[in-house]
Amino acid sequence: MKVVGVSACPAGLAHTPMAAKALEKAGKKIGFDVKMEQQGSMGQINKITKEEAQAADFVLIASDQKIQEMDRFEGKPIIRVNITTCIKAPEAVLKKCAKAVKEKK
Amino acid sequence: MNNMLNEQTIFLDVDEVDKDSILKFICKKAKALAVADDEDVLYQDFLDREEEFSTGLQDGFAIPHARTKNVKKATVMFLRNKRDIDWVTMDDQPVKYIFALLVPEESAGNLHLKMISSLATALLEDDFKETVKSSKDKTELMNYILKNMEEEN
Repeated sequence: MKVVGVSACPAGLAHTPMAAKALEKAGKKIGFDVKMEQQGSMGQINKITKEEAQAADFVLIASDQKIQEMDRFEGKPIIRVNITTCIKAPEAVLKKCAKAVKEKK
Repeated sequence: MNNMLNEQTIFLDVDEVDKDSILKFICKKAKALAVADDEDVLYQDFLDREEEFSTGLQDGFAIPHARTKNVKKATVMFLRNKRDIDWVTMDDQPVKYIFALLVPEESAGNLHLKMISSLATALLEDDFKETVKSSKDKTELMNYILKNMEEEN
């Protein structure tokens, strides 16, 4: 399963990198290829290209904020998850999203 | 360089009673260390941030933060409180270990932000949490936290 996503939080200081790393780590553990872009206090980090976005099975937005450059994800299943949930239970989030995307296909 | 975390910003025997008094403690220290000019304004900054959503994490940790013009220099404080503090956390557990993150609105360069980012991700690691909880020696603890803040992870 190939996953790309973006994390963002109000201050952009701590929750943004935490959610990104938590999801990437969980991905490694369960054999998902996860790349998370951080839109935080340092701007866009680990930026996802349009090609990467289009190759992904789904897009995970770990935020309830406005995300920059959503147009690169056009045509892809996009799932928004609360950033806190992504930090707390990253593995469950990935598995649930993957299941939802599979069922829709 | 005066580190953003140093022996003056580590407090291992704090005995505050609730979240409010913890935040007030942080603001008072910030004022004493010339990190902020006005502790009341800074306190309000912390409250505003907590209102957006709680900075409680898991396993007894919280990371209250303020990124405002009232902060004069990027600073990280670590507090170990003697008793459990009621705080909205991800695992519904009380808080005892607190990293307060203070960042000026206009950060000169990304170094400080990067260090805070590394600290935040270190808090996902059990080893890091255990060491921070149990370390008895302030200098050792300071070096350990700084090492983790300087690492890319």
